[in-house]
Amino acid sequence: MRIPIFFKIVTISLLFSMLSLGLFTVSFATPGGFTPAYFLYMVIIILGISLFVAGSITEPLERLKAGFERIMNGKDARVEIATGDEFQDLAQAFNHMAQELARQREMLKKSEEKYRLLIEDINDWVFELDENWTYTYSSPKVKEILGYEPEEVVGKTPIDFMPEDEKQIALKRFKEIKKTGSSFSGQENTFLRKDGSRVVLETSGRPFFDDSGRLKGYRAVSRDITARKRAEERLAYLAGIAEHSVDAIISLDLEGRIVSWNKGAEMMFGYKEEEVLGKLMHTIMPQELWNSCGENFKRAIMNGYARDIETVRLAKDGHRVLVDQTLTTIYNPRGELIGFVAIMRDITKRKKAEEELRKAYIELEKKTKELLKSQKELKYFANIVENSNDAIYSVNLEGIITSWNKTAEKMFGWKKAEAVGMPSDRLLPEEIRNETSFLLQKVRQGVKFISYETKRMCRDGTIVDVDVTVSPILDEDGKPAGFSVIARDISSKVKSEEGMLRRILKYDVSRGRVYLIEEPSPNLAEDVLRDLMKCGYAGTVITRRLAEEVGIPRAKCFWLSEKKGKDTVPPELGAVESTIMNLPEWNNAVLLELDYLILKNGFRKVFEFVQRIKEAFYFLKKGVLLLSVDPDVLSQRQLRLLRKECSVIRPKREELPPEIFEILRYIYMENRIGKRPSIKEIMQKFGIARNTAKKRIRYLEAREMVKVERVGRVKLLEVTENGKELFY
Amino acid sequence: MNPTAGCILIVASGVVAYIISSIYPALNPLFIALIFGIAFGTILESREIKVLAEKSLIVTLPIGIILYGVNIHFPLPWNFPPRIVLLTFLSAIMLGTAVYLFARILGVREKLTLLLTCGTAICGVSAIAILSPIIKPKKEEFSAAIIIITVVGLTGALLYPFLGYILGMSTKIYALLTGATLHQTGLVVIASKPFGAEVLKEGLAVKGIRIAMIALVTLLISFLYAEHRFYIPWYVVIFLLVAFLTSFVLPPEVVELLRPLSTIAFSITLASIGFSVNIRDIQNIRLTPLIAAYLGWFFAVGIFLFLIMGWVP
Repeated sequence: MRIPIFFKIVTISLLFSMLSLGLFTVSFATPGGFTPAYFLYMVIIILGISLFVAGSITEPLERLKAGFERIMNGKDARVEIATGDEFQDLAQAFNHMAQELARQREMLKKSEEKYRLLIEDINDWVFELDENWTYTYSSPKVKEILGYEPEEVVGKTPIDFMPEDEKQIALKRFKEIKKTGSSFSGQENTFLRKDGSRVVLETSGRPFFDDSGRLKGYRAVSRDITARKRAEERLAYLAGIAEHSVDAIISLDLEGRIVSWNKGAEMMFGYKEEEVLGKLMHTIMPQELWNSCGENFKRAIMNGYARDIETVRLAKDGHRVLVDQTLTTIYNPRGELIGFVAIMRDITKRKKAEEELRKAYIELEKKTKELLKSQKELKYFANIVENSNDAIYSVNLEGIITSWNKTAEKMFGWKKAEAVGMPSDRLLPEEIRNETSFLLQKVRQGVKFISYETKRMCRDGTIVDVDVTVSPILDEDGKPAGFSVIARDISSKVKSEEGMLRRILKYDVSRGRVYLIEEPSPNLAEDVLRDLMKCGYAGTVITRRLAEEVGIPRAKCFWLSEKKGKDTVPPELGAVESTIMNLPEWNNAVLLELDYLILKNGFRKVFEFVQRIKEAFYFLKKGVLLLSVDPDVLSQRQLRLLRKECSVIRPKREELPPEIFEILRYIYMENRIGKRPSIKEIMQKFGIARNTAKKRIRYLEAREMVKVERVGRVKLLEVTENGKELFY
Repeated sequence: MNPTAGCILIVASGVVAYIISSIYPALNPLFIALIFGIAFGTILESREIKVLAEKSLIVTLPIGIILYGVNIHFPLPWNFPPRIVLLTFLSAIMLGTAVYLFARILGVREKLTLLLTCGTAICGVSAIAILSPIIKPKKEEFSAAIIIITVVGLTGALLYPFLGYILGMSTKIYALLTGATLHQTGLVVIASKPFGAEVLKEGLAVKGIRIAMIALVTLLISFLYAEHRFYIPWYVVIFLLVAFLTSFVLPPEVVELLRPLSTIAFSITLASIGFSVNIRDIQNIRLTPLIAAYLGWFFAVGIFLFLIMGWVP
């Protein structure tokens, strides 16, 4: 039921009036009559009722007030007033208004939510700054971009998140932006993430103002362009590489026209970029290769690339460039083929180098084969050396043995381990202990080959005769580093030969000795020389006499003269010594007449020369040196000195007449080589008559020294064992 | 305001209320104390005293309720004619039912409805004060209930002598009417006094029956409306025990000595409640509960009067 407020107020007023009147009337109508207490009670009743009547009026207003307060606080409100008066209408209007507000608020909320989600979901960081560049709002994206929570950012300035080197630049930019008070975009700044890493942000923003038009701040959005910046840098880097590559990098369109041309291409082909852009690839191709070019493009399209194409290109000046080309296809982002990239490397030099390398390789292979062969041979020779029947060892310049073969071990008794490192002097008997230094001296002087017979001392102290061949060992520079020694044991041979020689010689001479023959004319000396030559010695005569005056036909004569000429030796002791020592054979029989040398050089020097030559002969077993001197040109003292230094020749005790001994010796020597001479040969050999020969043969036959065997008409002669005893 | 001054003001409100009620028995000391509390609280608008009053309730409410048991005197049923007892019960039921029904019809809040029902049916402000710990109404509901019951009761106290006089009621009928339908003992005194001591005595005796129903109603309310079934606060139980002791054990001299003390204590409790409540909240209860209380009371009294006018000689 609708009762307007006006009627309610009138009704209540009437009610109160009637109530007051009624109570007043009732109070007077009671048996006790009206008392002041009744008045108090009436006041209380009326006040009590008034309290609630007033409440009935104010309570809807309170509700409305509370409703408005709720709306002001952004809450929903609905006021239920069922008073049936204007309050109810007001409440309905309020509810309608509240409903509309709620609907608008909901729309606003949805809108806000939508934009909030938009801000939160976009990949960019949205924020708001006040006029002092302090963050007043930050979208949650900041967590992803800078690593900070939004509440960590709010209250700080962008400078707080920048590295030191960026702050000053940023401050300058901020001042410029604030000064203009306009929008800004594309501001690139480096920020520090919470973890300390750097991030580049591109920021755009616009200012906002208060009602008085004063700048209040900026609303801005930042985008992380770190990856883009890196990509740009990388792109620029790669472009730089491509541009400045020494390889020619050429991009082509689908028609084969040149689109780009780098510095490497300019250097390689001589064309500037502007000269070739838009021209066909054929510009740098020899005509004969134009057809094959299409094949390469087909391969590139099929496989995505065509690599290791070794081909020829033409430079601007016409010279041909051998290149290694890789052809790659280029696609646009939609995957459509848009062209090709040809990367060409000049391999002319490389090819040449390869060719040289190939030749060097072949040469190396050849050398290697040779080396292997040499090694094999060396091994073979080493094996030979090791297993040779001769003792082979080497000595360095310090006289120390550096190698030692098996035969050396057997011959000298020292094991290899003992001998290597041992002074080679230990192999020498006391009397020739200077041999090593002598040999080293010769090696240093450049002597290339020395061969002689000498002696070596074994570990057990025994002396063996050896035939040694000394060869110098040279180092890499060709300088002498030592010498090798090939030693052959000739002890038995030497013994037998010396024994035989002693037996067959008329005189008692030994090899390696120097003999002094005192006589006015060298008759005895010549006889000894002839005798020695008969026994195989090489005769040499060094004399002041002319060659015709020397009665030894097969002897080599050197004339002592200060004149230079063939077979002439100056009367200098060094020259004489050199001549003697350089005689090729080592079984030499040398006759040297001292008279002229003494006259020219004096006794003392000659005496010293004799001493030196004696030692040399002794050490080297060079043969027999016969010194002939006229005793009249020397004093007794000088003669005594020479006699002490030299040996004296004595004739052997002869059992047979010399002429018969000569025949026996001849037969013996022929028998030794397997021949049996006939009487006729004896006759011819000695120039004697047949009877003389027969007579002398019979003399020997009678003494059972020779046996005659008749073979047909020829009588052959052979020395019996009894005869041979004469030679043992 | 400092706490000491606040305490003094609260206590003083209770004491002064007791003194005023002694002068004007129709003004219940609890009602006066509540009004004082509301009035001072509204005037002073002191948050400190409000907080102090709320805190003091923790102590004063149990004490006040327990001591108020001294004011309860259970009459012995055999001292009354069965018809009187029956009519008294009938009157209480009718009053309660009528107020309850009107309150529900007019949309009064349930707890306020219960308070008004109990206050009208049995012993007014005392019943409301004692049952509130079980019903647990809001403070404004509690305060409004006390004010409404007092206003309605005073209306009855002023109206009944006039009715008795106009209608020519016999002393027995009038005593039964006042004792069985007026809300508080003081109102019975005011309404009965003009008709002589006999009426006053009989009226108070009938009222005594209604007061004794507090025990029954307490159990009933605790059973029907308490948050937990059969939940009765300990101090209400003690209150009932004290009431029993007062009625049957304690010598009358002791009881007479304790009564002012208990009334003052309970008045202080109500003053505390008054200090802690906002008058605007009480206002916002609006007129409906008052109308319901009036209508229910008028309706029940009308019927009861009709009944007793024809039935009681």
